[in-house]
Amino acid sequence: METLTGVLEGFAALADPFTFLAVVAGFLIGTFFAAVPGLTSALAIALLLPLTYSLDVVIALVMCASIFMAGMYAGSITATTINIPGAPANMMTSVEGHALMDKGLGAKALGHAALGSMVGGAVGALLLMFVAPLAVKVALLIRTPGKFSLILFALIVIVIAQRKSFAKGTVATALGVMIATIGIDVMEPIARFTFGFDIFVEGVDMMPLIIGTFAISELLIQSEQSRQATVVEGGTKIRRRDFVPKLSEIREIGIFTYFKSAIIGFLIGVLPGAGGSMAAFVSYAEAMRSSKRPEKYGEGSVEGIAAAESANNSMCGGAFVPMLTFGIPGDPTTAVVLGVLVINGLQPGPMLFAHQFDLIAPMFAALFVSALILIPLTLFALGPYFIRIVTINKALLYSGIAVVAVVGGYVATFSVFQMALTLVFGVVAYFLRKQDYPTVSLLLGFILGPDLELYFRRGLSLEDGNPMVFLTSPDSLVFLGLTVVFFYFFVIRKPKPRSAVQARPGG
Amino acid sequence: MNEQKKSWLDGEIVLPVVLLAVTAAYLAEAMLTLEPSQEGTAGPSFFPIVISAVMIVALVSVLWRGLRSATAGGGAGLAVLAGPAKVALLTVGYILLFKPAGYFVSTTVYVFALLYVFRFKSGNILLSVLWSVLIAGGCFVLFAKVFQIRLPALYGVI
Repeated sequence: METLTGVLEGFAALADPFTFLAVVAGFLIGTFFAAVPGLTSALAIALLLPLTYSLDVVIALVMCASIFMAGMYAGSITATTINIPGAPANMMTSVEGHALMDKGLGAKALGHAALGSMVGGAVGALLLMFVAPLAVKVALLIRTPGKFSLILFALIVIVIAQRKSFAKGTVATALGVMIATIGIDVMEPIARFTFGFDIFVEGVDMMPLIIGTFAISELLIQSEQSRQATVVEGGTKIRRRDFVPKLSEIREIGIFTYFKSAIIGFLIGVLPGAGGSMAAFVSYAEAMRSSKRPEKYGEGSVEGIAAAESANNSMCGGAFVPMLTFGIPGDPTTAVVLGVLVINGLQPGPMLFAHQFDLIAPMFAALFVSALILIPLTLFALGPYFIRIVTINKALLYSGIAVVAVVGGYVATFSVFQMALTLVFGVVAYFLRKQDYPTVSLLLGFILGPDLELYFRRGLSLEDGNPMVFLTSPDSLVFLGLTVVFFYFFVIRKPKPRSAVQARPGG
Repeated sequence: MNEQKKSWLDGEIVLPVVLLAVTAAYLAEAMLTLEPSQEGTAGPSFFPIVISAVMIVALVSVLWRGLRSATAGGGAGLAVLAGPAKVALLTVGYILLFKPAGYFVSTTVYVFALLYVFRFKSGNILLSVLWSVLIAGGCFVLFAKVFQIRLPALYGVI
């Protein structure tokens, strides 16, 4: 009952015009960033990060929520119109949506993508509102050795879920942990790894790492491609009424498909590191498996679009669960949102729900409102102009992003040193990305590293240095067991290639 | 694909080697300056030593795979780096100029140079200058006016 009241108060907070304006502004920013290939919602929130110092924390968080939801949905726009998914999560939408676009049914594809996103996003937000407070109660049961094993489990699952080389994922994670150890020790007042420079005694701030990893590295990658022309298809005329999906088509897809996909998306979102692409793919594959018309898949199936979009938007709600309850982000965007929380002095976990629920409840409401109201509204109002977003001049766009990113490194501490660190981390992330190292693991290693060390050392000190404490504590044993299971099934016994679906044209 | 011998300039090899060197320096600092254990429990250097060991094992694995793969990918790598190198150098210059020259002057020059690197309507300098001033001005409004962040100014004026 207390939770329900808190959630309702969250919705009431959106009645404040300035807060609602922030939700709308965040949604439009997220739509823009997701619709421009190369830009992501995580980048949008990373650029917003320095500005959160001047913003009220509720405003910052509702903006993050609406950017996240818009970012997940708007990737379907370019996926459908020019066959370039705005994000990996929209890959399956690209397969079906662009096939429809080729048949002159692009508006129909966009309409179904919006409806799927709307249902999935709303279901995911509702599940978040009721699952997160329950998850917090579970979090209270986990003791120090269990917390260590949980973080270890999360870091390993995140590396596995990136679906890149396990060794490279380990390198990126360990590098993040190493960077996090610079500065004062987690248990004793001793400065570590300063290499004789006093400036490192305070440690490395999260802001330069986030901005460097997401914004500067993207800028450097885009500067490689500055000679490439933007792909723009001309002559695409879209009318507003074409966006509204027909009732017969919705019946054909089936309400069950929307809800099943949304639940799959939410559950995958809860899994650390899995993200929207896995949610969309699994739901798409499941929809195809159970479809009455599987032969339509790959040729422009609205059912495939509905399943994929419903799942990836529902994932948004799921990804917030481990981040808010355990401080373990479910995907890159929630990793950056965690940065917003920490920078604003909020610590994820049971205390956040017990004492500061009024600060995060508006974020839940913003997620729901973005899905249920802003997705259809934006499509109806701006849909015919979506195609033009990709025609924006890249030189102007990236020059503006460069200024916001580099100056963003300065505003946190008014320090030129932080600006330089932003560039250094950007260059490091650029080389890591070039060699296919998952940079999100670097960020999560940095975020979770201090807690990993803290609980490891505290756990050992509980049993006078005996490491068996991690094997005798039941909660720790559960997470270590899960880690072994995941490692066995996804690294030692790798799943078979998913060629049947991935090899579809355009995919 | 060309079946060539792998170049030492290939990122698959250079990057793990550089990271191995960084890890070695990190490990040395941990072992030489910090206590590994105190009163039977882990001290400040224990965890960094464990992480270094994990890092070294993973890097050796990456390096081993990089050396074993037969195809060469490093040939075109250096040419691709031209754009990022220019952007990185311009950003270094921008950071150095940021406080002495003030936000507006340094940002306008930085944006103008970036527009050149990103090949914004090459040849039309006036248009580039105009856009540089507009972008610097727009970001100034965002940071200084909307979010009330104090930015450095040349002679306290601009």
